[in-house]
Amino acid sequence: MKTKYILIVIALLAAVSCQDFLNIRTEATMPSTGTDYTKRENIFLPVSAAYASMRLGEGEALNYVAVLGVPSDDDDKGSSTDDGPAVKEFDEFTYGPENEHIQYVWSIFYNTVSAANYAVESMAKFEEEVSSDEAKQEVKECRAEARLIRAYAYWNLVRLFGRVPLIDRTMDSQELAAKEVSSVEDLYKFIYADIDAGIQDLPESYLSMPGRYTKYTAMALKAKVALYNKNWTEAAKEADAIIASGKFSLMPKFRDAFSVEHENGPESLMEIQSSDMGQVSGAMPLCYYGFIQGPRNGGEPLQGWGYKVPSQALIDFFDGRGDAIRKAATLLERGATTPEGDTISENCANPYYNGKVYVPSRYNTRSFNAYGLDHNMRIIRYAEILLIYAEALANGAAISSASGYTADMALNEVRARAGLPAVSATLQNIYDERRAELALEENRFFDLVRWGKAAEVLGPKGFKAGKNELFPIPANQRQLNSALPQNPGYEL
Amino acid sequence: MFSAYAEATIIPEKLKFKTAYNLDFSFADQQNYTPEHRVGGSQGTSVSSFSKTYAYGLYHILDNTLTYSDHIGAHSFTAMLGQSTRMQYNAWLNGRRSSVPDYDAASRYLVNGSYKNQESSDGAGRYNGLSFFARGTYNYREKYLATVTVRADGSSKYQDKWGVFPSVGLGWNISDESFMKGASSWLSFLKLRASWGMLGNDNVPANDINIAGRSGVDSSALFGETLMDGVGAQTVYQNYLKWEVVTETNVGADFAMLDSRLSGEIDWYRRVTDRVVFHAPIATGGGVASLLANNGRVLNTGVEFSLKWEDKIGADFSYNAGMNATFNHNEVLALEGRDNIPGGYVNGVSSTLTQVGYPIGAFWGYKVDGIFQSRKEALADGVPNQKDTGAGYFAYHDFAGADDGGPDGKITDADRVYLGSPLPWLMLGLNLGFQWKGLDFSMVMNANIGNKIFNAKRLNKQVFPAANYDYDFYIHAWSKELPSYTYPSPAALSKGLMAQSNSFWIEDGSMFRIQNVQVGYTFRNVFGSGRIRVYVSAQRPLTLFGYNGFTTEIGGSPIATGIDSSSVYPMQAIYTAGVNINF
Repeated sequence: MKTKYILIVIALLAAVSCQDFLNIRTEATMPSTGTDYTKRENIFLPVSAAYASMRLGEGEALNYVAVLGVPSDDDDKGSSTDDGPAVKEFDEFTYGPENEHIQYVWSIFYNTVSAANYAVESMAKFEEEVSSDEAKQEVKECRAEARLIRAYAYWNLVRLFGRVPLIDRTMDSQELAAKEVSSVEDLYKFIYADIDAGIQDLPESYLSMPGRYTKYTAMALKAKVALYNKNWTEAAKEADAIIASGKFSLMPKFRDAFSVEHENGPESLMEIQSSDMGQVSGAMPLCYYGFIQGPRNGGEPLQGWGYKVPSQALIDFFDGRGDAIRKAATLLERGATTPEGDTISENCANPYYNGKVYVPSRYNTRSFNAYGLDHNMRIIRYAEILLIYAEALANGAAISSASGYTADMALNEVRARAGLPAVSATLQNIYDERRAELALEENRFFDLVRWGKAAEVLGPKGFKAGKNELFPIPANQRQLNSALPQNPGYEL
Repeated sequence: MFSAYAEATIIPEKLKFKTAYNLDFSFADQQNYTPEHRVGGSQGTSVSSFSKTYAYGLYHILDNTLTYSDHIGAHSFTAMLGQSTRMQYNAWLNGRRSSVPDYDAASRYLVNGSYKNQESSDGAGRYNGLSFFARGTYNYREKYLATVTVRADGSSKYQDKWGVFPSVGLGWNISDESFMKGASSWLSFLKLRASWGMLGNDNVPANDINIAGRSGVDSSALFGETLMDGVGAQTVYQNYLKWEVVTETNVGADFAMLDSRLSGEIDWYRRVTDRVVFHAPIATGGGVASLLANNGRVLNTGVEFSLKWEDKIGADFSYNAGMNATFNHNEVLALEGRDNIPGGYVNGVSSTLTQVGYPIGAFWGYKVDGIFQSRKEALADGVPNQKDTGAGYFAYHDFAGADDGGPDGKITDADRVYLGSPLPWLMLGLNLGFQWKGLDFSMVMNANIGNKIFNAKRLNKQVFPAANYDYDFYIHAWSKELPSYTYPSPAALSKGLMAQSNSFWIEDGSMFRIQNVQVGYTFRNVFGSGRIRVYVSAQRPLTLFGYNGFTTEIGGSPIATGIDSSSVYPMQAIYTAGVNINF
């Protein structure tokens, strides 16, 4: 009989705490709602994740260079003849809404939007919980930082796709499935507002954190966004302020602007960081942008996938203007030996690769997929700020210059470093300079579109005016959100 | 595996209490050594790596039941109250270092590797379940039978923790009725059954997407060479999951005839699964591609029957033959908050649509009318925007797209049509056996009829142009010299619109298989009462199918099954010879 009572007790025990018994949190995770919002050291955590979301994984890097790079006249598909037929569609302008790289590029930037939204929302909670003035100031800065990252993502989305849904906070799946697109004007307004928060709230520098986004990063992004938006006065104003600050300068040698040693250097305004941290293996903060463009069949440790290679048109362009210094740094030639002592294998599939992502052997320490992982992706360099300034002025931007620079001065500072004589800042000279200076940096296609020259220059590749200025809204996204309209010419 | 139970009789013959405990314990020790090697291209490594994983799992089940049985005359009944507790926990710990020397087993320890290149990680899963149930049964002379059950189930996998699920079953042994006496010469047994019940299913993935923050390198910013701690959210919301509930109605009969030589069962069933739980893709913006959700209502209905014949010829020869068949109809009855759910992305485009009125995970794509024999013919087709047009390319059928619903002279999403179901409409099983003196023989066969497979490995050409063709494609593919009216040219495979779900890639996945054959001989009375059996057996010695792949058994998720990507391996046949010795 004694046994019986014991057993009944067991049965009751099992029943008593059943609510706790069934409410269990997922193992091996941190509670996202359980972050201690009173602690100052936690403030940066979600912003850190937003930065991390900008790094391009292996496939993401391919999607990025395929869609943003390959369509231009300076970039060819590269790789081997047969590999990546869906990338080839960007060389021929035959891509449609079902092209997988377009689908994934959409996700790359919306994932960053999502991470940034999470950070912005977290800041509202920190703001309520932290008490010290220093902590409140940090919350303000971190919020601005997250908004700046979000602006970067939306600016890419708007220049790729035009109208897109504006997701500015956490939304559930039903809301996402019916989210209407916003107009391009509204998107630019949103982007400017996010960037302005950065200009207002971010510090001028962070000690011992090279590459962290500052007030100047925000100003640089605003200048670049304004340029694409043809907002000449804004573009000139921000570029002028950056020049006037005296904090930035061109690397004396063009080549050094892309070297591992001079990452986050005086020419750098915005980069996406990557490093294998000297490790042979393991999870590391890697951005595969360099790797994906590394020499194909180059053999370790000088081996990548060989996508997005310089075109013959670009080589002819450099030759035609005697632009030898920049040509040498922009092209990585098969069979040649670099100043750092690497010989690019004769077995490589293409005659040239992108020299701007070249990373010497000694950095390529990882055992597998070693090449280029120490290369930071350059988003905005000081050279571009000078060119934005020149172009904005040449288009009639009316500002009272704090830097005292004229358009000619800005343009010729860039030319002087390239060992080229001074010219006057005509629009054509600025256009050519932009092409030479920023080649293979994912600007050319968008430049041709905004200059109205895309049909003329890219027509022979297959570009159709009225259609190819924007990329199609991905088919899979239209399947999941029926409120998404297709861009003109892609309705099929 | 460990189990124990204790039983206490409270009122003799009537009231009983039973408690049963079950423990399932598993342990795994996995080691993985990758030496320095070179395959070619970008495949290879100059540094060896070694990883070790220890994993264990514990699954406790504790059941308590209190049963009262009694009878009043010929009416017997039982009443039972019960409770069940389930706790499952699986954990793993993994470590990895490079350059671990590989002298012998005694050297393969992580501590011997490079301290500079090491990683560790761990993880775990937990599930708790709790149930209370009551059951009453009634039985009149084994002639009239009734069962009523009510369960309350709680699961940690759902946010709506509890579900209550009733069920009723009735049985009538009609052959025991006096009016059936006349049939007893040929009908040995006949029972009619009917049941209705609801059952909660928590055999689904736990709803764990982002209740959680994510930390680690992938959530950490890098500034120069400094990694900053970070916590991000994959997505910051989750669906509030409710129980998936299966409501089943079943009417059937069991029978035995001709001195019980022929026996069988026949059932009609209708199973409606409500709030069916699976991952469904969501519009990007949430940071994830898909989310676990209660997605709608799915019907399975059909007829199931089995027959068995057992007999003897003479004293030494006995034999049996049996078959069973299930005719099933699957249909989506409702979806929650959306018109359809795309799935099965191949080359970035969905190949299935889950949609009301069609089977779950049904294949959708273009209908191929034929193969263009020349570019001229393609251009003259009247569907001018088949943008990948040329000799050897698919001619797609233009069904719709115009404002009036008719063909619009273009191939668009509107032209994607239903191309079949990945689920068979008929499943068959057959078995045969005989015994003659010491010799025994048995054979089990099965077949699936009518399921479709998307031969997606043929489309992989788009991603890996150097990949192999299958032989069937190789010999039939369109070429100038050997034109085909059904097979495209290999060149067409590299074009986006060609390498999408269409009726050419969808193949019949019907198959017949000999699952097992066994022949044995038993020697009796060896060394006294000992027995020795010698046998040979073959598992899966023969599988017949017309599908152009390695196997027709291709798994997947509920909305994307039967999609044969390049990572599906053939099933192996196993031949065994053995001796059983009993003393």
